[in-house]
Order: sequence, then C-alpha cells, then structure tokens
Amino acid sequence: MSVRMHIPRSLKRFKYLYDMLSAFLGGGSLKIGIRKLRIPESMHFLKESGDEINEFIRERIYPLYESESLLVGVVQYTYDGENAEMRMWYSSLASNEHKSSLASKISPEVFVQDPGDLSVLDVEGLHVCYVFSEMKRILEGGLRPRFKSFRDFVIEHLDYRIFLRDRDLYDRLLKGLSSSITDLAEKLGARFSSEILKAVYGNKIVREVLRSAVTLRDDEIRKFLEDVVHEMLVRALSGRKDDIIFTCDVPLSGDDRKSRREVRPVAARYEFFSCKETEHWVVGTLCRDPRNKLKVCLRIPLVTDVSIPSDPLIVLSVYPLDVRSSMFRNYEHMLIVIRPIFSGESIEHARSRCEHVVGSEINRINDTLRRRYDTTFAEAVLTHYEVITISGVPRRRAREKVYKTPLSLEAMNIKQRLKERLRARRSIF
Amino acid sequence: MRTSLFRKENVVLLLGPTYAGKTSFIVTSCCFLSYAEKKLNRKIFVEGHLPGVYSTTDPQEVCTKTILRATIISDEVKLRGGRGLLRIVSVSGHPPESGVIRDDIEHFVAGLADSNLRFTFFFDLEYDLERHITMFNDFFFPIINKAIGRDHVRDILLYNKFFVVLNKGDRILLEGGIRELEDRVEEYESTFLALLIKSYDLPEEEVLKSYRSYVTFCNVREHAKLRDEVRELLKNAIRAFLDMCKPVLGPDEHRSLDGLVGEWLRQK
Repeated sequence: MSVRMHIPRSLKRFKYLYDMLSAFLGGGSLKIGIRKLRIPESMHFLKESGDEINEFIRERIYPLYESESLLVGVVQYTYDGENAEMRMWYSSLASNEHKSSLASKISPEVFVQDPGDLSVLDVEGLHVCYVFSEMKRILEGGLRPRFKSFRDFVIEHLDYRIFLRDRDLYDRLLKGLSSSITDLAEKLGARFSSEILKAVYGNKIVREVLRSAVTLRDDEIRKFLEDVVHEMLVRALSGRKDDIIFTCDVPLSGDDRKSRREVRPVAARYEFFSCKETEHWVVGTLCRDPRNKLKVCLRIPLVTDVSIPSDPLIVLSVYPLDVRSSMFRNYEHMLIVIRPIFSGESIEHARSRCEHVVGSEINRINDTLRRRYDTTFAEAVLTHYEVITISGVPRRRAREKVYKTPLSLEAMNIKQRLKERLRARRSIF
Repeated sequence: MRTSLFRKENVVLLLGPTYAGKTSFIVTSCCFLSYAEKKLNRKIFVEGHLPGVYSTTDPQEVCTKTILRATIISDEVKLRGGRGLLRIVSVSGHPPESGVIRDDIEHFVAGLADSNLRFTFFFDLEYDLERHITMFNDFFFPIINKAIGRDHVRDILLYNKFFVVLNKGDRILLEGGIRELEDRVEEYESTFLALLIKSYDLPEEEVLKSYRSYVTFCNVREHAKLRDEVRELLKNAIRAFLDMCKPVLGPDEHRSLDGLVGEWLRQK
C-alpha cells in the first residue's frame, strides 16, 4: 500500500530545490510505502465450528491458569455487527492487588470472571483473540487498547495467538485497514505538502541554502526527507518508523547522475599566484584516482587518506609527491593551495590542520563555484570543458600585473653605450 | 670557478617570464630532434619531463603531447651527444615572491650549482620591457643568487657564456615589419645587457663577447604555412638549440644536425 505525495508547486519558485527534489524523487512525487500487514505465524484461521479456540484455551491456557502473567483476550463484533467488543481474562484478576489497578484502566465489563466464559464465543462475530503471557510488561507499560496501535501492541508481545474466523475475514480486515490507512495517508499527503513547505522554510539548512540561491545536494535532500518528512509521517500515522518507507518511482542510477553532470558546460581551474593570501602555502593538485574518486595530492611529507564528509565524491590524499611525479603533473582541472607544514609541528597536528584546511579550502571553492557558476566542486572537476579561473589570478593576467621598473640612471647610461655597439653588429637572420 | 675531479654535468638553464616560450622552445627543439634522429638513425634524446607527457624517452611525444602554459616548477629534457650528457631545464616563469613554489625553484636551481651551467635568458618581444626588468630584478636574479651564489653566477656569465633568446619575433615582424623588429630587438637586448652588467658588476667588453642572441619563433605547432621570414626565425630557434648542445656534440654530429635544419624547415 502506498500513497503519493506531490512536491508542492509553491516550491517551484525555488527552482533548484524543486528540481533536485523532483530528480531525487524521480518524477516529482514522493511515494510513501507503508508495509503491508503480514500474516504472523501465530495467526490462525478458524474452521467452521470455531473449536480451535476452545481447544487452544483448554490445552494452552488452562494449564497456565496459575501463571500470574497470563492474559487472554478476545475482540468480537457485537450482534449488530457494527461495533466490536473486547473481552479479557487475566489470571491474577482475582487478586485485589491487580484488580484495582486494571479496573482503573479497563472497563470492568471487558473482563470475564471465569476463563471458561471465553470459550463460549460467538464464532461468527469473532474478530480476534489474543493471549499475552507477559502481563507484567503490559501492566508496567499500561494497556492501550486503541485500535490504531493495537497491532503494534500485539506484535510487541511475542507469545500470542490470533484466531480469525477465516481468510476472508482477514482479507476484509486487511483491506479495511489498508484503505483506512491509505485514506488517512492521502489526507495527510495534502496536509504534508504544506507541512513540507513549512519545514523547508523552517529547516535551518534549507533556509541557508535557499538564501544563497543554490541547490541542495542529494545527501542533503535525503537527510531532509528522512529527518523531517519521515518524522512527520510517523507522528501522524502513529506508526513505527519501520512501517513507513520512502521510495522513488525512478531511482537514479549512477549513469543518470553522471550524464546530468556532464551536460553542464562549466569547468574550473584554480591557479596559484604570488598573492598575499597564498604565501607560505603548499600547492596541491587535484586528480582522479583509479577508483574515479577525486584526489587532492599535496606536496608535503605526509601520507594519509581522508574523506571530505560533505562530499563523498572527494577523497583527499596527501602524498609526499615528487615534483616530477606523474600524479603531480596530472592536473587537468584544478590546483589547490594548501597550508604548509611548519617546522616544529608534530605530524599528527600537521595532518589534522592540513585536513582542516583542505576541507575549508574545498568548501570555499565549492561555495565560489556555486555562487558564480551554478555548479559544484565535483561537477566542475568531473566535466571536461573550457577552463574558468575561479580563484587566484591566471598567470597570463598575473604577468600583466607585474609592475614596471625603469632602468636606473647608471644602467641607462650603459644601455646607451651598448646600443651603439649592438647596432653595428645587428643581424636578425 | 669551482673545480671538481669528476666531469661536470652540462646544464642549460632557461630563465624568463611566463609565456615567454621556454617550454615551446624545448618542444620545438624536440620536434627537430625527432626528425633528426630518424634521419641520422641515431638516438640523441635521452628523456624528457614536461607537462602532459610526464616522463618520456620519445622526442616525438614531447613534440606533440606537451601541454604548453602549464609549467609549475620546471621542464627538462636530457640529451646525449658524442661528448656527454646535456640537460636543458627551464623553471616557472612566474615564481611567487615567496612560498613553497619559490622554495622549490630555488632548491631546484641550487641542485644545478655544481654543474657546468649556462644561462639562457628568454624574452617575449610582445611583453612590456619594464616588466621584464622587474621579473629579472625581483624573481630570477634573486633566485639564482640565493641558489648558486652571486659570485658564482657572475663567473658563469663571464666564462661559460650565456644566450639571449628574443622570442615571438614573428608577431612583431608581421605587425610592424622588419624595421620594427630590429628596433625592438635592439631595445630589449641593450636594456637587458645593461641590467645584467649593472646587477653583476660585469665588464662591458667581456659581456659583449660572452653571449649570443637569437630572435626566434617557437610555435612549431602552428599549422598555417609559414612565411619565409618566420621560417628563418624558427631556424634561429634551432640554431640556438644546437649552439646550446655544442659542448656535448661532436663536430661531425653538430655539422650533420645543422645540415638537417633546412630540410626540416622545408616541411613547415
């Protein structure tokens, strides 16, 4: 059983969020699956006579009469067929100790004084019969015979048996339950559309992302759906977390994602120059490793391998690279400027600092790319298009920024003398 | 001059502003070498380390696959002539004023101090002359002074001779004609020599004797049909390369390579 929830159209004005949600959800709708009620092993269908119940009570319950934890209950339709009633027998009911506590919670007419009364059942109207052997737990947790949580309540207590009149009744019960949940979910779907919107506005991460007019990453959307939307659904359906699952109609394959990435005609290159901010920094090179992960190779005497938490595509490798190492030369796309290791620093400290700096550097680049070029770090690096300088100064431009130095007067005099002599021996070809 | 009991390594160090054409010069030379090796049926090119080809023993690979405008620290080719090995190395044309890149370049140049070193100064005739002065004053001279020592540099300039390559002559030639090119060459050459003389306190007479200059065109990947004048500039580049190689080439080798230049150019 499942229900579709459409992404609120009002989100369309946040194009990137809408597109990403649409892409993530595969066609613009979120499909909420609610797991079907399965027939538990302890569920039995009654034969015509309904003797199974009597037999079960006689063989399994009577011997347990002495147990203080035994509770037997039945739920059956009333004669008018419109209401259900519950009848229970609890082995320790006779004792005043429990009687008072139970009586305060459950209507007294639910209980039967003699377990034998349970065997006199209206089999035609039987809805369900259950037996709990761990009554103490029930008492501790309180008895909550609410229909919506009834199933969970039963499932929680393992030693039980459910008798149903027949398969048809089960199917009708399930159908009724399904349709009621589906109806409920459909209603909730409409409500959640607005609640998602609220959540989008209210969610700190999303708000920040929207403010900077950038897109959400898949993992952020996933987190948003799992944390915010799922929580809302669970709360509304009073269900267990496991019962509500998200599915996409068209799951995106890795190829799909890649192809989406490849249509972006933007790439980035990060050059280093003699600007103040980059002085005393180590230069690293971005390349791809055999796993097709991106790798930042730094020319510092350390070897480590860390992942940038915010971007699983990027693996940071710090290598003691030789200047002439092929990997160092393999910088098709980007150069990263990184803080160096100072003498006196411990390796551990240096490594942690380095990782921190690399992370923040990549984040900075990422932000720049998003802001200026509407792409992400990973996308920019994975595409093979014209180079765009995103930070630092291109060398060609940098060389035009070199200030001009005139010759000193003394050198100028030398130049004048040389000019005469050079003119005499001038020959270009 | 420092002396050693062992034979010193021959090294030519190319210095000049970024985009002056140092890597292009090496690439052009390798294109010629590739042709010459086939003609002479003799291996001269030993190995090369350049952006895009990493490490290779094939000059043709250097010729076709090197990524220009991508030198981070240095480029290098190693050649073997009848008289020994020669390394032609170039360093990044825009070293930062400080930082790791600058340190790397200094260390790299310091490693050449004990070799039989010769300098080649590159100029981009399209690039502002006064900016050239800044670059030599602020980048290249301080680097070689720190790495090798000012006195040693002075000795090298005086006794080992040096080369001046005035590149991108084709652009001036095509835009302003031969007269414009001659004037600019004179201006650049005299300015640089004055700067060198002043910076290292060199005797003018000695300097005029201890260098050779070439006006060149190094864009060997230019596909358009070259004009005769431009072809001459390309020839100058190969001449400069062969002159740099002279200490390790035997007389016959040099002569045979020189003889192939015209043949190679006719293909261009």
